[in-house]
Amino acid sequence: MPSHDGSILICLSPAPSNRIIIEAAAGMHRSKDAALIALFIETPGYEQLSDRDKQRLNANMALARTFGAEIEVVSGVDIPFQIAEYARRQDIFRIVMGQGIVPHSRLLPVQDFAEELLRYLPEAELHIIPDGSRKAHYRPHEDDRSSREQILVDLLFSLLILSVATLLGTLFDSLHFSDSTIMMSYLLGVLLISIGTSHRGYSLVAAVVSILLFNYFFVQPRFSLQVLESGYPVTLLVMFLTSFITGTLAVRLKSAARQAAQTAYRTKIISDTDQMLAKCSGKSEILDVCSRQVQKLLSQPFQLQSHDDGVCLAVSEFESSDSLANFPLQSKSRIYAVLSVDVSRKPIEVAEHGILLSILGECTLALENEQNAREKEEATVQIENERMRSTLLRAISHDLRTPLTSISGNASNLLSHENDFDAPTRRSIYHSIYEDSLWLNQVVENLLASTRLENGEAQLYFSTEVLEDIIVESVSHILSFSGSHKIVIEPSDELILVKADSRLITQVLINLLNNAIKYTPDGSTIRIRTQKRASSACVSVADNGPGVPDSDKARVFDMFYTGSQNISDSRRSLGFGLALCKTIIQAHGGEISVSDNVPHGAIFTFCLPAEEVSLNG
Amino acid sequence: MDKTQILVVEDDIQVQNLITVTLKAEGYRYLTAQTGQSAVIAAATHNPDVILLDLGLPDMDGVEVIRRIRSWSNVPIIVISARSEDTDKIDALDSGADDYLTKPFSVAELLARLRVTMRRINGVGFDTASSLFRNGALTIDYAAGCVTLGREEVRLTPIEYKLLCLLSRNVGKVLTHKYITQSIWGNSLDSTTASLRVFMATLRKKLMPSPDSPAFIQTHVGVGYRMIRVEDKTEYMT
Repeated sequence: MPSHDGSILICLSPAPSNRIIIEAAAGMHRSKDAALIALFIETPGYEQLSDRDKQRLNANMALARTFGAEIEVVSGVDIPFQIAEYARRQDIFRIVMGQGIVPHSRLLPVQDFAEELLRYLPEAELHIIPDGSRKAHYRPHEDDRSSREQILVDLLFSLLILSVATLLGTLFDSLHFSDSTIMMSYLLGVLLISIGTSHRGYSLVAAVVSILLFNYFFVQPRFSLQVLESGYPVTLLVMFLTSFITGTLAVRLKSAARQAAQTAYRTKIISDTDQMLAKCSGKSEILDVCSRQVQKLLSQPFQLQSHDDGVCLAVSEFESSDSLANFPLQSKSRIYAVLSVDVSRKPIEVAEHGILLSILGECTLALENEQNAREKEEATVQIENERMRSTLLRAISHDLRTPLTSISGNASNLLSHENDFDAPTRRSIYHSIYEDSLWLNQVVENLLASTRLENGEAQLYFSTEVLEDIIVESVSHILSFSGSHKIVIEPSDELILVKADSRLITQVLINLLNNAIKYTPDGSTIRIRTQKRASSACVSVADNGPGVPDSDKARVFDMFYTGSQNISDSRRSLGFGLALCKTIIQAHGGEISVSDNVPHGAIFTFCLPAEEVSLNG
Repeated sequence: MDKTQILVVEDDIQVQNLITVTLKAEGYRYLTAQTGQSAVIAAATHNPDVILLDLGLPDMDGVEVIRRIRSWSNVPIIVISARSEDTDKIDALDSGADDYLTKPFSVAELLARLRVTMRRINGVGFDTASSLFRNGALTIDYAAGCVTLGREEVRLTPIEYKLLCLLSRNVGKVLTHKYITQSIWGNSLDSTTASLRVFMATLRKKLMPSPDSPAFIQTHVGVGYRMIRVEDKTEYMT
């Protein structure tokens, strides 16, 4: 059954000819939707690969990545079996491989690799690329760098064990134990050598040597390799096979244990990452965790650079160099960050590579989730803003239309029936038009102020101002339509300076004064007091009207709240006047509140942070 | 006496009508222009006594018009701005405008500004020969460097004296914070501008011994300061 979506699996190897295979596979990869996966099976023999082989493997991986392949590393002993398993799990049945992949860990005659793979995965569609590896038979070189000392140690160890076994044999012989007991001591020796040395060759050699030693020292005639008794060659052969097989099994056991430990370590790092990421909130924390986990894993200098805000987490003198391995943290739609690892001194091991990709995958997922959550939140805020805006728009059009209706109505009355009105009526109409136009102007001023606030801090022009100047300025805007209200400014003795946007604070005062005029009967007195309290400058606007009922005090600064008795259609609602005051004062880092006047009336007080000035004489 | 001629530069016909009707009623002569170009030409050919200039013209920025006219003429310019941001007024004042009006303005306010400007160009109260400056009860003797209010001598610090001289030499004209700080301190850093507020407040207090005495210095919050002729004071209470 051919693969349904054209996904392709490439078998990676450290062979130089692997390039040809990767390129061929990339050429076959037509559809963007289909997966292209480069798979490397990490066998226990990987540890023993020479640096050149490891570098080549890394180069092959990098090449595969440039073709857009996903790199996967799987640990295992039986390469064809692992490939087949992986392919089955991923549902990929097109497998591209070279002619001569040799599972180097096998001593048994090599069955054709492709045949073996087909045996595990009969439905696979194999593409065997002629890569010339039949002619120049490639075998991975085992690492010979550390082997010189290692060989010496292993040899000495083997000699020691064999000598001990021989001494034990001599002891048993002198005690007239049977031959089989002596044989057992040699078997034990071979087993110990298999476990203690780094290469399976030692167990083979040790098995041969132990047979020879046994023959030499303990088989009649002694001190010769001759065998007289007819049954002995068979005994010796059985002994050899037993020692060799136990030795091989011990080696397998050892490497399996090591691989298990490694896998456990990797799993731990990945599960740690998971746990740490679960606790993260915010992009920078996720990137921080990512960089810490990568640091645990890699000894190379690296940097993790956030893609959109340029935040850069670098570890241990990272410098941009030519040999960088770059790993993007990306989802389908966007790149979140890029990890650059300096591989000039030391390449990334295949095992590390796999974990690294897992960690990065986890972090990408976390970043994606975080991004989604944030976008959702922003959308909610935006919806809320939209709602506010439409409510504001309705309130504004109401506030604009009311005085406009009055102006245009009055003007049209004058146009058509000017002579029908007596002089006092006409005068009152003129007066009404004038007053409404001034009111309209205040609405526009409030609108302008709220637009500026909406655009954020950048739109506020802070400067140091004398508080009293602002008050005088505000009152000068009010006087023209304060009617019969009396406005009294009570100056403070000291000079009070505030850092403020003078226009906006003027607007606050105008709104408070308009409010006081609106809600108090004619002839009321409005007093403006300034006062310095600790580190803030306070201005209070007090009237002697009916005051604000306690039930309304909490809501009086809310948007569009115009008092309980006269709801939205009251003539001059300016419902957002006090809400605007609150917003302006808060933008200045101050506070606004309402309290009761004695004996009756309301006091609106706002406080701004006071400003100290060092004089430039 | 020849009637004062005023050039009204305003592109909105309704507002232009409002201004010209007011001027006619007050007995001023006037001519009008609707664009910046024609305003510059009219200023050059008719040599008006005062220019009322709207900042939002269709063809060029009002500030540019001020710069061009200022390149040859010292005629008083009063700008009319619909933009309520202070920066526009400050730009206009720094480019050489004498005063400003913000739309919507009242007719009374317009006339008051005109009278102040007119009095300034007629040089009332300037006694150049004796290097004396008189404004109501305030007298400044530039030669002797002393200031008296009525009969009392006013004790001023050097900075306060410099500020007072600067304002008195430009009486009737609005001086921006930047202009004043540049003239006195040579810079307009934030700290300097803050200092200016304090010096001005103390200076004003020294010139105003009681709350009822006339204010010589007018504060234009967010814009600057101006010394006014005390006779004009009532006209500002609009």
